[in-house]
Amino acid sequence: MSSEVKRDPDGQLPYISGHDLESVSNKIAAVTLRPMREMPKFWYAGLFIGVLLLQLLFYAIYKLIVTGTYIWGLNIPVGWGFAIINFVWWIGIGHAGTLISAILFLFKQDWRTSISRFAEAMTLFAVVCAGLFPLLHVGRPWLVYWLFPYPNTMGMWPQFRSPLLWDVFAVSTYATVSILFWFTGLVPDLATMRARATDVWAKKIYHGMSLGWTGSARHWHRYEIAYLLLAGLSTPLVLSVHSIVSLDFAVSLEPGWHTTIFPPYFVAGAIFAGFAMVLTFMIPVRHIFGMKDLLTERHLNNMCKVMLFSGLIVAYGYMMELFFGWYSGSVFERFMVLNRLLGPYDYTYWLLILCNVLVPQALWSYKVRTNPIAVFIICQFISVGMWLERFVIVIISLHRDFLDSSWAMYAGTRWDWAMYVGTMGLFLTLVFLFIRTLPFIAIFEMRELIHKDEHHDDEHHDDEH
Amino acid sequence: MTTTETDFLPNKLKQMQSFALIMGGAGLAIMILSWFAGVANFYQGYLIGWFLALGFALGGLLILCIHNLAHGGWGFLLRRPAEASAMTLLPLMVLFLPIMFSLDALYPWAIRDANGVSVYATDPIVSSKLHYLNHSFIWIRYFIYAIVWVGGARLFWTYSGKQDETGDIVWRQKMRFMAGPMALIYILTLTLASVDFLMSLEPQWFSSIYGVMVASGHMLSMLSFGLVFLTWLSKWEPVKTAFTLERQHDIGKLLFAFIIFWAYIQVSQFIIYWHANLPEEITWYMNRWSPGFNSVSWILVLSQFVVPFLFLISRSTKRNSKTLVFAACFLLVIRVVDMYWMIAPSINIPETRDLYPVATKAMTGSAIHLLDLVGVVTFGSLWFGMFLYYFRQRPILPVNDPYFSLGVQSKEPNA
Repeated sequence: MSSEVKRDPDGQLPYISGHDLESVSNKIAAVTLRPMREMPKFWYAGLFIGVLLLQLLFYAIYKLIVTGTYIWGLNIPVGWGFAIINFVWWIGIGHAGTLISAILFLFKQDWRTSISRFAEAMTLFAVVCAGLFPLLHVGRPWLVYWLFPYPNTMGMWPQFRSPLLWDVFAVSTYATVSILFWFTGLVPDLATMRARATDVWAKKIYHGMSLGWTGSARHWHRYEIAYLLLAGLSTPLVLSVHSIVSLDFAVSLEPGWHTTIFPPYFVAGAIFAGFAMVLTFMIPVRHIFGMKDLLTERHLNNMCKVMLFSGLIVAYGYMMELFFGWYSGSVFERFMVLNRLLGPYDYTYWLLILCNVLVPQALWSYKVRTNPIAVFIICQFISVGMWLERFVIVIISLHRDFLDSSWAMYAGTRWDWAMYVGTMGLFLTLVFLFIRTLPFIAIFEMRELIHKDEHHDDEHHDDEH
Repeated sequence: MTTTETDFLPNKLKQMQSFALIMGGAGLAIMILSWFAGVANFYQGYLIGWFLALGFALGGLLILCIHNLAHGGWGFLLRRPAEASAMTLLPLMVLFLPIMFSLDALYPWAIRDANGVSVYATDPIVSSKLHYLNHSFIWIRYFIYAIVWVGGARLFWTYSGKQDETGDIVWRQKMRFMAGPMALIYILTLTLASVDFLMSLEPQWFSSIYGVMVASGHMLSMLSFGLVFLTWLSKWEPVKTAFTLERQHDIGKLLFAFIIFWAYIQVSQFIIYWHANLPEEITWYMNRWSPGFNSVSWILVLSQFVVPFLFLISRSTKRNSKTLVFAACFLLVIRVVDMYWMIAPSINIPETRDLYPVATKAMTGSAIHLLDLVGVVTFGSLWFGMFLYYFRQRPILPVNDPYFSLGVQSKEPNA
């Protein structure tokens, strides 16, 4: 087979080969439509761990609501602890999906088709996890609607000049557009599932969700326009959400927060973390569900390149933080640099450099980029590193502020950790339920890719004559 | 095709080169005369012109890195202009020597008293930076920049030339191999060079996004120039066939993306500094908001973002060569305004002068001077002449690149 497959001048294989329109649909739909007893043990194990940790989250939330945020390790001066670290970490992870679906779509990168659906779903789940932290940190989550500006009898308005309010708009817009984008992309596949489902209830649900899709030319035409418009709408959101998250820090006067490189450096960090998380799930899933022909090593290679690129921007950000911290000539800025490198939390900074700067350099090698195990291990380093990055930014800057009489150490309590690990449970649960209930690779886009390849070959053939 | 037609383009390019070099030479003569005459604005005009030209050269180097990494079909068309542009780095670095020899005429930190000690030795902020901002170290950095940039440009030029001769894929792989590290080296050296040559005009001021801001300007310069030049070349073969509507649209989209990126970077810095309103940071904007310069600031915001953004957002303007070239020409003019905006307010503001313990020689001049224009025309012409000198040495398109036919002919761009 491989001798027949056309390679490009660098000897690279195409993104999809050995499939026809029928086989690709069967293969992807089979994951969702097979009987429960045929689901692999990996899926059961993943869901079990997810649900278990989810119970921990529920308990942590219950405990928090009945006792208050003092169960967290917050103090003065560290008034923002795990909640903001975890919020930024999750929101960052939620960036890969939109980047893959919107920006790579506009760049006409065909390889995105295999991973876009999965990455978009992970975006939504990550935003759900992220949203929990500010929601709970307000102390009285049932009054969270006060964050929105609405005419009220109290005559109170939020502070429009605060980036925290911009965050409310940015994250809620992001969540809304991401859901719309994801669902729009799902409609043609839901119709495919409707046609293939044998279970009555499954058929009914897919029927309802596919919104009467018939696959007519008119439907496709409208679908294409809607998808392009949503891609265009989502693109600025990739930049805006994390830029605004970075402004939560940067517009303050705190050394270590107040630096102009923050917006682009946060966006790059988000893409870095997002791709690492997508790969963390993609690699085992492609192995367990036998999807190596749809999620090829070439996909890994490309994703690793994006990860390496965004990682290098992040590394540039670290360098700029240090250099301009020193170059500013301000004693507070310089102290912040020293405190990061040599202070009581210095190990977090050096671990961060190991995880986010040193280890990812292995991705320069093609062999590493196409070795799933190596990539998986590097992704774990990156996920840890990105969490540490937020720890370094938040805690190291806050715990020793301008007034040295107020300095204090900070540590997350078991409830902080329970919330954090609990959101991982929520994420795992949602991901494994998604794998089971919806096609995690866009069937029709893969079919389109096969069609395009065949069509392109014909065209090429014609040219030769 | 007749011989006359075949010779037309090379002859035309040669004529343009001679004209540009003569004009540049004449401009340089005026600059030198003004220096002898002791016109203080000589340095400001020289720096604006030189940095503008450097933007084209370094923009070329960055485009080569991106093209070799990204494989995009658009890159094959821009490759030769980018290579030739990057090759002008050697003469440009030599042309910076007059500034290097008279640092104290432009950079306040370089002024020394009779004992050879910096006048900032007692300034609490700037004195702590003098380990970095001093005569010896800036010379070392200048040589490092020159070696790295010129070396990178030469390597691309050599490999690309070898590929033209042999068509061997190994040369392409070599270019690809060096493109990643070169892009890294580019952004690191450019950041430091921006600090040295531009930011340190106001030695108290700092901003960690500055290098990216300058780099985005370089991309705007080279992409705008590339579009105008390619469209002009497309009157004749071989660019006529290769520069398809799709390719024009691709480069137009790239230009549009960098217009947004430039604005994004500017807004990021502005919001962070405006919101915090710290005296050591806000001065940069205060200088650019002083009478006279505030109108330049408005012109820049409107002309390098609002107007081109609204103009190029439509697909049809990017696919119409006339409108696209009009936008690119407009942006080329605005690049001059941007350079002026980056440099002049740092030198010529009375308030700035009050901040410094010793007013520099350059500060005695007026804000807008004829020599600023002469500097721009001189370096613009010199750069263009040198660019054409290198551009004429090679075939206009890298036809021997194994990806060339795929990249140029494919209807669907792959990057």
